[in-house]
Amino acid sequence: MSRPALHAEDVSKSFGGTSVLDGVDLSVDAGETVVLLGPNGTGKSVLVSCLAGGTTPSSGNIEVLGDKPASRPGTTSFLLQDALCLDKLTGRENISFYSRLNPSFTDKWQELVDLFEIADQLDQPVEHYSGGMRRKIELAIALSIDAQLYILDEPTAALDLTMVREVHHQLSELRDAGKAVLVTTHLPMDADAADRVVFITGDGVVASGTPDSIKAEVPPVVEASLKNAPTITEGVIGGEVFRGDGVVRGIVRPDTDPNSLVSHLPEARVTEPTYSDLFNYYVHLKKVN
Amino acid sequence: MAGEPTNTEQSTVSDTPEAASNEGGIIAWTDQVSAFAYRTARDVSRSWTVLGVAVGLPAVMYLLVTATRDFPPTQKGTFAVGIAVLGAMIASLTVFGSQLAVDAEDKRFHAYRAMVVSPSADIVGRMIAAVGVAGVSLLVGLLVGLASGAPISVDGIVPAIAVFGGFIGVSVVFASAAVPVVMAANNEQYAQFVLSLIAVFAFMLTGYNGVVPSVAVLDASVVDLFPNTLATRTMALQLVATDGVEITQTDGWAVLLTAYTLASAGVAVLLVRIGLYDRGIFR
Repeated sequence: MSRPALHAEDVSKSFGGTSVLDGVDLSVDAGETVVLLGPNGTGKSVLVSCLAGGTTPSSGNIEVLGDKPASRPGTTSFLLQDALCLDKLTGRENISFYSRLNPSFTDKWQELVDLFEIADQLDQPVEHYSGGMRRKIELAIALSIDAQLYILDEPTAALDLTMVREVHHQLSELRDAGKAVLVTTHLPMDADAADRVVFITGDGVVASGTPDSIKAEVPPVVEASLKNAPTITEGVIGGEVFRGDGVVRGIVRPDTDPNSLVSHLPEARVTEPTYSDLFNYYVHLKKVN
Repeated sequence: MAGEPTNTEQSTVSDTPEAASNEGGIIAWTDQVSAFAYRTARDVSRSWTVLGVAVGLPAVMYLLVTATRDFPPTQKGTFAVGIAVLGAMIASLTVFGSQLAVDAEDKRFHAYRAMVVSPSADIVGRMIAAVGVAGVSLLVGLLVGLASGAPISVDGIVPAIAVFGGFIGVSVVFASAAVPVVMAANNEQYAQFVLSLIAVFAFMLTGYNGVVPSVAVLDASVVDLFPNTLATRTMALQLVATDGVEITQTDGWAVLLTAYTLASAGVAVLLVRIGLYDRGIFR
């Protein structure tokens, strides 16, 4: 069996005695896209910074292509949230900076700025960019580095749905080229781009698997109108329902028949779990179950 | 063209942790030096606050002081040199330190570490830009002095080399001094305020960089050993006919200033390696 591109074992990180990560295990193979999902504040950014070599973990072992992280140039491309660009420089000048800084920088940025529809704004200072434009220029920089491992921290944050799909396409191209890709997000729809989904909470990694396998583990989901929310709470895990677009959804307790829960309610149904349901289940409910 | 991201070929990637350790690494190292130098220069060229304080303020100070009192021409000349060096000190500190502080505050060093950026390339690149702006500030200060009638001139290549050496020495020492301030402050605005104060305090404590020792706050024996004093007196003695002005240069000033320069640059590189790049001394 080939060695994973990224292998992390028992990684912990504390800041001034406060533990942010505790015993996290994670690996990413070449030609695999792993999406790391978790709520805000669970240490995803700290974890990926440790994996990329940007932060030294307090304990644990991390290997990137068999070496310590950031021990060789060109192995990893790391997209850090809102940290790559200098505000007073234009987008083009920021790209120029990273093209000189990184020996593995390629001219792919030219294609990417067209795809991300920011080519016309490249000569404006980044301080005038919106959050989405800033994210696009940072993505163009990170994806223009020819590396074996891509670690992208919330690449779709602040992007519209069309651009999210475009980013997913870029991720699939990287995977097809045999690259290892690790993406963090708190947007469930980013799981569409995953070969494997990993859920992380304050307790560490709580679930990991292919989208199908991880979906199969989730109990049935019931959906009801807002006014019927109190009626279904008794039959769902933790008694907790999650609001959606004019409806509430709950994950049915194992000892409850989902059909009996909705049969007497108008506009209620048993349905397939979405990625949002998966997120709620693994992040908020699994421990309760 | 410089500054245009047109790289279509990939440079040789270093096989070792330190980019400068093999031939391909040296190319990568010089590219990284130019990246930091170019970016710092671009950034400061759009920062009117930094430019105003580093280049404009010392010249305005000189004009205000010389407008309110009558100075003999020679004193005017040495004062112009002292003020011009103050400008170079402020420029070195603020240009080098302000962007370093922004990078630290934005956690950009996490990205640099992941890219295996060489800490020495980082510091040398920023230093080149800082010394460049310091040179502009020094030149503006001297030209303002010259325009106001101060007898400033350079007579030959050896005096010019001495002046250049003094300028490089004081610029590197003060740029290096920005590193611990930035690391302690971890905030751009606070760091920038403290950095400007350091230059002004050094100027006042040493009696206008040692050219008016009578107003120095510190004892003369201490003032004589300050790097800004050594550099400024060297420049004043070479650029101004100092007959009748009590400026004496410390014996062995060149050795002392060189030692200050190398030691401060060495400490700055170590601090950046350990504190900002999270590396050991050799790794």
